[in-house]
Amino acid sequence: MGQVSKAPEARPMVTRPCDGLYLEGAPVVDWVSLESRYGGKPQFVVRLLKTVLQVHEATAENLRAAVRAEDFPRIVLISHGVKSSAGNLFADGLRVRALRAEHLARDNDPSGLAEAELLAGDVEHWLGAVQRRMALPMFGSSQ
Amino acid sequence: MMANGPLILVADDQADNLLVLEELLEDRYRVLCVGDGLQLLDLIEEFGPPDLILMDVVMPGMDGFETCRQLKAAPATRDIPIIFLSGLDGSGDEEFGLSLGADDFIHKPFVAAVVLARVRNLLARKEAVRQERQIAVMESQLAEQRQQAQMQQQLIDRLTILNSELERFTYIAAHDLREPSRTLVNYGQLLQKSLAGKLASTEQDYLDHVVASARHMYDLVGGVLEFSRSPANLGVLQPVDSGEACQAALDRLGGLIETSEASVSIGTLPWVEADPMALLQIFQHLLGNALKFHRPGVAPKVAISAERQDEDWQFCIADNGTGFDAANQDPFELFRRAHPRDGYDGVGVGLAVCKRLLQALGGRIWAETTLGEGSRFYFTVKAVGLEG
Repeated sequence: MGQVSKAPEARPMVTRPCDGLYLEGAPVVDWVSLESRYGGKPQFVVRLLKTVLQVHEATAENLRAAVRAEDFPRIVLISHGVKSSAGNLFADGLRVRALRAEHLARDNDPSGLAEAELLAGDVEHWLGAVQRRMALPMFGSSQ
Repeated sequence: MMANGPLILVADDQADNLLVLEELLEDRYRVLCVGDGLQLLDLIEEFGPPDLILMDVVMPGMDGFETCRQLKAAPATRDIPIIFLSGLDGSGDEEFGLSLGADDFIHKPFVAAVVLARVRNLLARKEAVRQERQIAVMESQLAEQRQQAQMQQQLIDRLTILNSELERFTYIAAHDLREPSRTLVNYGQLLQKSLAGKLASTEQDYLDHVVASARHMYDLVGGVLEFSRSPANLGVLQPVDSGEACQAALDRLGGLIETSEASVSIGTLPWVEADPMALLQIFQHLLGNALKFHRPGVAPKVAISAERQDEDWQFCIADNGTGFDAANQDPFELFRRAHPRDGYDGVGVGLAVCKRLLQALGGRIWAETTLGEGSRFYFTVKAVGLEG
């Protein structure tokens, strides 16, 4: 290798205007923790990220459809899955959002619909960050 | 995946969760992944129970709780340790999972080291239980073997008593029968003398048959008597000069040696652990046969030798006599004569007595023979200074 790769985005990542779940400028995924957890196995991290992209390819769309249908059990199920994957990728903000959506939907709380809508956006944002990360040559730098 | 080591089944409906768990476990364990409870049950049915199951709760098809319930209900799978690994965060979920028989409940997101530690602990506990069961099974088998050994010993004791009673009966019967048979012979012979020349030819033949048969009966009963008391007379085993025993036997057979014009050669014979009378008896029977069963017109040649074989001395008594048909008869069986229809004396007891005595001495006896050329009788006796 012998060369240092740079992140393609020079400006800091900022999520949507948020409600305190994300800190401005903080990464969606804690890449340092993720790479530290799988230190020495960059190929595995690539495989994991690819898997997450595949698993959640339709998640945002499905979530929004569930919101439109006010299908709370469906929202619970999808949020639960997002929460789990967010945990795998050290995406704590997303995990907390998914947890909140899951709880509200489980209680059939109408505010759960809005929370699920926000979660759908967060998922898209998260997957975008993952895709950008994968564009880096073997994760040579941190975001 | 490891080739050996405990097998862990992981059930989770999300591919990334399976990937993360497989990566965590595969360095230490064999790992198989499935997507829901139904697949997990199918896999167990096909390949048998794993050593441990790591399972999500929220899964499509059959969820973790139902899967756990079914596993714990079946005798073949109820002992498999189960760890729930779930994103469910209500305390009721954990309590419910454990109430179904699960061994542990880990909340997602999990700490890798904690998952590994709990897996390790459960596997160790399972192994300990397995070993305890194995020990219990072995102890049970041991107890059964002891009981069988005890029963066998009781049987041996009973058979020993019965055998002893039978030997005593045989001895008494033979002893009591011998006297009247001798009387029969004696009076028969007296009749032969007093009626000599006075009987018709047929009557004389009848009388001769009576005497000959009485004589044969006397010899047979004598044989039974000797056979029955042969091991009973055995004393404590002690160092015995086999050369001296052999010479004593030859002395007793002096008349036969002289009349048959036999030549006897004796090699260096060792001291052995035996009963002196028994050894003398063995030599006497074997040498007597070697001298007796010679070919007509051929003087007997007998050679006695011994060579060390491990802990025993192996003796050989070789002759140039008639030999016998070894394929069709066991000469060591009681009343089984090597030469049943010839003119030689004997009732077929000597070799059976030798076999019995040698068994009692811890040795054995066998023969090699060629019809018309001679025989070699071998027997072994323990060397001096060795314990059986």
